[in-house]
Amino acid sequence: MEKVSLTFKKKDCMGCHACEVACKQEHQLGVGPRLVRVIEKISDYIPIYCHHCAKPPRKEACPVDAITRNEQGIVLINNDLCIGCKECLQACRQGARAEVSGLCPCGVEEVKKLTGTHLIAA
Amino acid sequence: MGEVMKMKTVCRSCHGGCGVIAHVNGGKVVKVEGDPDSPISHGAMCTKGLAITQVAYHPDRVLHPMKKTDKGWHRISWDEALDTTAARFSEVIDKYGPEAIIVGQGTGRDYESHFSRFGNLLGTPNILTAGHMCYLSRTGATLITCGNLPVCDYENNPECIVMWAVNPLWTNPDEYKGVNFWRAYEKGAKLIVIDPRKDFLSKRADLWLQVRPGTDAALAMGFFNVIIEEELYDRDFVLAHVHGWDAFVERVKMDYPLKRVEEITWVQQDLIRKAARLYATTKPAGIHWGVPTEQTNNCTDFTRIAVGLMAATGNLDAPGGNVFHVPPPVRKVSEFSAHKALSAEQQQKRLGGEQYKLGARMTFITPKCAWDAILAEKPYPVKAGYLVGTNPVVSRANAGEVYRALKKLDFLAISDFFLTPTAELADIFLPAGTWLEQNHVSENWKRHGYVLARQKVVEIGECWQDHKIFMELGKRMGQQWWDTVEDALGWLLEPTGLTWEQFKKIGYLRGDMRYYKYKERGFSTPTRKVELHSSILDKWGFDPLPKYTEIPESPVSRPDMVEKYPYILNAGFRTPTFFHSANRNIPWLREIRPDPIVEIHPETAAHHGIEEGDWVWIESPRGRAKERAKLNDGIDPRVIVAEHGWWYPEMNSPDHGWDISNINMLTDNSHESMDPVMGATNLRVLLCNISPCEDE
Ligand code: SF4
Ligand code: SF4
Ligand code: SF4
Repeated sequence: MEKVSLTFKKKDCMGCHACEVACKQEHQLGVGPRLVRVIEKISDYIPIYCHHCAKPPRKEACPVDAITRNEQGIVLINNDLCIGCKECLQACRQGARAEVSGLCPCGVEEVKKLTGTHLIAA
Repeated sequence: MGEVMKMKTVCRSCHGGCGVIAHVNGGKVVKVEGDPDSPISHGAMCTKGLAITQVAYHPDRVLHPMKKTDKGWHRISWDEALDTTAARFSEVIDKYGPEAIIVGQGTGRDYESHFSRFGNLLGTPNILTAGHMCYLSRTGATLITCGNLPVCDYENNPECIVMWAVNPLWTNPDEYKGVNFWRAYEKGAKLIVIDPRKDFLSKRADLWLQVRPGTDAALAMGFFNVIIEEELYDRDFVLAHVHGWDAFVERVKMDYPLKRVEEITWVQQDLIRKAARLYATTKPAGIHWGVPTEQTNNCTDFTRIAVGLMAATGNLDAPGGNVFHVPPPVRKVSEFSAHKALSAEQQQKRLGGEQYKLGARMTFITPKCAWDAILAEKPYPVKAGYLVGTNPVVSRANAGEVYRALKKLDFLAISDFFLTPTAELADIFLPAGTWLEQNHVSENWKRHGYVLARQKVVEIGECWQDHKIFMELGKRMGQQWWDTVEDALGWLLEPTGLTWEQFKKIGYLRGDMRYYKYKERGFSTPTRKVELHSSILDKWGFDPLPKYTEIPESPVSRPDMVEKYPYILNAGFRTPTFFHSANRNIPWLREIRPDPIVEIHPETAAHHGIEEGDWVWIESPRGRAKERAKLNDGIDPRVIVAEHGWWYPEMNSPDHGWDISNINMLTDNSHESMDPVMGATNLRVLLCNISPCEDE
């Protein structure tokens, strides 16, 4: 199966935060969990999101093997197995940087549709 | 869970009008997404629009009419709410005349036509809008200069874009959406950014001019100085189509040598020269300008000079320059508004109309005149008000005075979604529908050449779209309206041959665009030319040529104040999640921006012992506000940048903390500080001091 990946062109991030709200809406999340997060460091905007790493540190960290990477290259979390220990969040290079609260489960086409932005390319 | 139904409509969480596909399940909107077929937004949506379900289904939203008694707010029926309002207005009219009622809106949630019609048929000339310093003022200044609002034509790929005091990627997408700019930019357009702050756009720019806040008109004259000296203007166009060129050239040469412009604006001469050259020699080139240029005493003149630049460089109504869009053949907002129904006698009573002649011609008043008429009853008493989707206690200058004035009214009716600090001052609350609950031929008042079908997706509680409230209240007061909202839309659409039902299916209409229209019929001004020398201003007794007037409260004009108030406050900073005072109660949006932010240069902050994240008092002679410090080395150390629009919906007391972080506690609305022709309030530039909040 063809691999997909979610790429943010960081240099083009203008700090509109639309990706954050689109994500919250898509996954019906309230205040708290932030799967994607845009950090503002005057005058840079840094989108932090799941990189779907080839060797996800989170996968290694998970004590119950709830995290897997499928053949499309998408890192997935199995909510039925997850015991909520947050070891994965500690382990994640991205997450640790920005308190991103989980994995990014959407495919790239969905992301394009969600934000309607030209800034996110496969 | 039933089937999800998808319906197309148009967002109105700001002025933008982006196309939306709403997902409806079991009579409830469960999700919205951008409509890729929208001709103006191409599928993009911003945070505000994406969060509409949290607005519409907010637990604090008021879903039925209410009246206030000694014991607080009580639910009443629509009949009682409208009958009471009509009766109270009639009493005021009998005793003081219709001019004793002010009818006000905020940014207008796309009901400008109905709003104005209601006011005109009521017989009051006292129409209170944001228009005195936002958009309508821009439009008014262009009407007297070149007959129409020239909009940057991104569609035809400008080769050079001047982004003047605006960032459409974040806010203020009136005619133009961020996505349209971005597409043109990505195709390789040169970018000139004029902004006191370093940000995404200024970093991308070929040239960034870090201007002293409020001096844009002087900078524009500096551009002209270069263009004239180096003969970079379009000689044929100027000869044939500009009125007053020689007198204007004289003024530029006499009063705006580059050295002086540098002193005024803090922008280095060679940078001004480079920018003017780039703009004047790259064809086509468009100027996109924003409200900070309007919200000072230079409101009218800045826009007039900017139009002059477009004209002199041959970019006016040229593809890829600044163009006059042709509207589709729907009936115009002005016709619907029934301005002719307001008698000459009533028009003459317009508060401040004699003084602010251009504002009066645009049919609005400046708020200061309303507050004076309420508080001092001069020149006559104003006793009642109807405010629609507006929160002037937070959004208008000199907030303390606004609060006192609204509190003094004998009767105030408000239509809104939530009990804002302004709404809490009312006697009757009318629950308005959001754009998800609205049928409208939308964007009809805009100058981008489209109308778009906003169709009602759901009904929520007992809320009515404001159009219906105007109609039903108006009918109770003997006014002529249509039977239903949709009948009125049918009348608007009549010249197109479409019914409302047909229009909804088509989704939008666009006018037949043509360029260089002036070649056939000139410009719609008295001389049929671009009037750098304005015959209208001349007739009214104002300076007919544009100029820069020093900001009324600046280190230059008030050196006596500098010891106590050493910094220039750049007030009114806008961020993508909020639309003026809206959205502070929307969880998704407030999570991104939990606190009001004041930006301070690191050196300045260190001088006051302020660190990143500290709460800071910002103070002017009129009052103070508390915001959280963010250090920014991309602003001048002499400048402080503060967000506007803050109140605290989560505070349960009826004032909801309107005076804590409200930057308009500091702003001035004295007549001396306003644009003399328009009545634009200076919401932007004043002197301030800062200090750490000791109690935090
Ligand atoms: S949607 Fe794109 S531009 Fe906007 S904040 Fe997210 S990554 Fe940045
Ligand atoms: S891809 Fe999905 S999970 Fe990831 S940020 Fe976007 S919407 Fe959220
Ligand atoms: S820019 Fe304005 S109209 Fe467009 S989605 Fe955002 S709030 Fe809605």
